[in-house]
Amino acid sequence: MTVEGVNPKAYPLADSQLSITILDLVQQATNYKQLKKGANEATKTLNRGISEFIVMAADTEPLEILLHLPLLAEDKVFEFLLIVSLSYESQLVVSLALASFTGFTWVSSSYDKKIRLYWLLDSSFEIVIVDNVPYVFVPSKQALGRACDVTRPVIACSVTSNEASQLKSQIQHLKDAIEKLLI
Amino acid sequence: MAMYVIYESSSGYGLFEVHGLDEIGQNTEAVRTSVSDLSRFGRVVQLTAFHPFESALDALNQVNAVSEGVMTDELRSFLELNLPKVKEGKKPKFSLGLAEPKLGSHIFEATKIPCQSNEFVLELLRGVRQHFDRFIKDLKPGDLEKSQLGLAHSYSRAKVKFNVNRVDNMVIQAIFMLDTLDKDINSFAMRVREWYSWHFPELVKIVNDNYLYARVSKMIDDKSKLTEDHIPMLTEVLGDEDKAKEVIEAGKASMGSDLSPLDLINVQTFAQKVMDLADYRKKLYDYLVTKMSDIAPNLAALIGEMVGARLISHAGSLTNLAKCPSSTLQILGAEKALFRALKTRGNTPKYGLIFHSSFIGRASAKNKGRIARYLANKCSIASRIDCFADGATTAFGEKLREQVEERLEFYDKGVAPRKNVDVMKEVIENLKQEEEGKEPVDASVKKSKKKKAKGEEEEEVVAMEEDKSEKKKKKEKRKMETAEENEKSEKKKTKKSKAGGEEETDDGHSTKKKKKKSKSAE
Repeated sequence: MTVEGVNPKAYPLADSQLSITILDLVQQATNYKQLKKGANEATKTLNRGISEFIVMAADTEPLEILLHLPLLAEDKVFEFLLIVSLSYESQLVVSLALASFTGFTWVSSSYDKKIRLYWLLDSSFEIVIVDNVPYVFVPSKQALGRACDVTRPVIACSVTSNEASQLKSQIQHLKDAIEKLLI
Repeated sequence: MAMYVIYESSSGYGLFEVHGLDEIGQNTEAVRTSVSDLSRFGRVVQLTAFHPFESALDALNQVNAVSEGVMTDELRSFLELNLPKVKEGKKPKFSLGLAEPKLGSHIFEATKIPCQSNEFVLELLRGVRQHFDRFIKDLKPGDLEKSQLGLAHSYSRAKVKFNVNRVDNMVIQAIFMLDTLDKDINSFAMRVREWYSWHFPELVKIVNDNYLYARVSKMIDDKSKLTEDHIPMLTEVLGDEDKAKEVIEAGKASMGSDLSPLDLINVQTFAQKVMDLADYRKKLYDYLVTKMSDIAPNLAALIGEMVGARLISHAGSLTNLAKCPSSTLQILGAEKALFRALKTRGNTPKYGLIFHSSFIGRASAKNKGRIARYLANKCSIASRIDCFADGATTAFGEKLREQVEERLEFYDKGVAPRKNVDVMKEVIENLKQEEEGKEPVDASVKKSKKKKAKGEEEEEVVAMEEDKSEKKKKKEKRKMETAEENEKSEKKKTKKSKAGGEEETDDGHSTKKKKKKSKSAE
């Protein structure tokens, strides 16, 4: 079987081994009702902040109908704190706030967050905590449709969050594997 | 395996060597505990090299590059100078930890230095950030805070200035101006009618069009001067000789009052301004059509330039429109009705701005909601193609429009519509044929124009994608080579099968000969 050239915009693209793992997890998420199928529903899960990771099909034609999902997944704002009127006391407050964000307040997952400092024009600034939602492309939309238990091909789907789910550890391992693709 | 950590402070790049901490079996809790203690942390992490930034501007450039995941020349020379050399073919015996994964991938591509960015590295960097002022001995008290504040200020100001949506702003302002002009022209035209009616009240009933009324009133000027000689001129304006004669007859028997020459001059001037405004509105409309064909050709082909421009302006930009799910796009412009329905638990609206599309008007009452949902789906697809595709084309928009037409027929007459996959494949095949016909130079020119239109940041993003695409092309070449080998093996198989066929025919001939011999023997 000759494989056609993959669109270079489909990045990061999972290899065959990782694709099998992803599709298996997608199928289990289907059984556990933790899956949203389709580009529109995946967009909504990203907007609501309930998405664990996004799976997209690399052989979608045209691929551009999926490329808004990486944009949404990259800069999902987690929480922000607005500090008004810069002064020496504010600097101390900011230092304490940064230390608490990174070290103490969210002890369990502090290192997953990135902190950005935005300087506003009226001498105030806000701290935005940003968390990326991992996203990955798999080679075949037909296979993705089968994994979702749908007779048609599926070009995008989103595995949603559920703290009490048995899939939690598998999802975390897969998120780590997806993030390694970016390096 | 040795480990280094690079830290980008506001004063400069710092390279730290990590030893004594074994990553295997080490949990982040213990690392976090040891990080907070300077005496213990100081023994584990030591400063290897520090490269200060030359000026505030240099710091801003470096930090901008880091935030975009790009390695600058200074950073490259700094790393190559202070890290052990990476020999070709051999695996490096160290790794570099950093905070930005994109920067790590870029460093690896350029210098083959292995990079990692995980929880352990982030924890180490947190400790470095906490105790940075004590690692650098030359820093005076307060210098680090000053450089941090200065860099944060200039960095944020540079970010605020940059606007990736500036191309869409032209469409947004044009559609706002067009709507305002429509209202103003309507008001002014009514004012012209009312003003001139003091002099010639019968003209209102004869000439209904606002623009024509302004032209006719300016041409007539004083109704007492109307004669049979004006019929050709009026015929030219009104397009109807009977109406022209009617105007002349009404002028003779008019009951309006006479105006002084000064009053007439004012009315004429105002009518001229209304005509100029109407002409400007036409030019603005043509400008909007041209701009929409350039920015969002598929959306304009599908739903029309005006409705498409209103969708873009309501969403804020084409990128924001592409990010909306289609259910949001369906009810853009009907937020008040939506929230009222949600509050009172009534019926939610079926459509918003897309109500003005011709498809909604042509659908029957019970099918308007279905057509609205289907049309919103196609608009989402068209806007995403316009936002992210490299080349500008209206082929997708036209095919999507055909799909909506087929959907209308399906609801009215039951004709089965085509599938999405078939339509998209057809469009892509047509595009490939067109591309084969064109010269590659034209394609590159179009791409460069599109890049300029999108702006600097997206240019850099596209450049990075091109770098990746080059790697992909190499992989594709390898795949092509394997495909050729497969073809060669297939050819060998066909040759073997042909040889088998020949043998079979030979056997047939020999049996026939045997039969002939046996007959002659008998």
